[in-house]
Amino acid sequence: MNNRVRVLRAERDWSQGDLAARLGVSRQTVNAIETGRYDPSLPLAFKIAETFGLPIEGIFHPNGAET
Amino acid sequence: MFDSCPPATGSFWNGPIFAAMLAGGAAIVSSAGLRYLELSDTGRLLMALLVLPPSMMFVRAMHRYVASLDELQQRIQVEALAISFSCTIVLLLTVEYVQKAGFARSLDWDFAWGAMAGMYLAARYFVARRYT
Repeated sequence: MNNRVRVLRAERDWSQGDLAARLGVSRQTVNAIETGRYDPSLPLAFKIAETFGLPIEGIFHPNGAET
Repeated sequence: MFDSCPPATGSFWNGPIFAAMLAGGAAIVSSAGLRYLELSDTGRLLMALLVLPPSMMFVRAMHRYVASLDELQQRIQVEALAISFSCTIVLLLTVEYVQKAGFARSLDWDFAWGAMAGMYLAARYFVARRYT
């Protein structure tokens, strides 16, 4: 699954640590999501979407879809 | 019992490692006591069980530590525990049959938990690297 988490975070000038604190996860988890090594659970994906004020489909896309 | 515990701080070193060190200290005291003290049967039994309370603390600390982690960290722990648990079984089975064949001396139980702890730490390191 592809995602725009890194881009959205950079647009807000947040560090990985800032986003991790807002989501209540570790910085390693944010890094793993951004690099595509880990796909978050549905509850965490909803929390990410809520944090960025976007729908989930505006952040996460199936592999091969336009990002 | 575990669910009523407040969330742990998430520190591996303040929780499980501290409890494991307490259990290790109790094991040393217990071993020395059983070897050097002249105790009654009840005394020997109590001395042998000295390691149990800090060991239960370790179980509780490990559970609280894992419960306090986020979902990726929990996945890393589960994978590391699965790898170390199964590798320890394979290792112990191998050692047992090599012993039966007469090619290895008898090993004590300290070998088993030491091997499991070492494999868990190694597995945790390598599993975590996959997500870094």
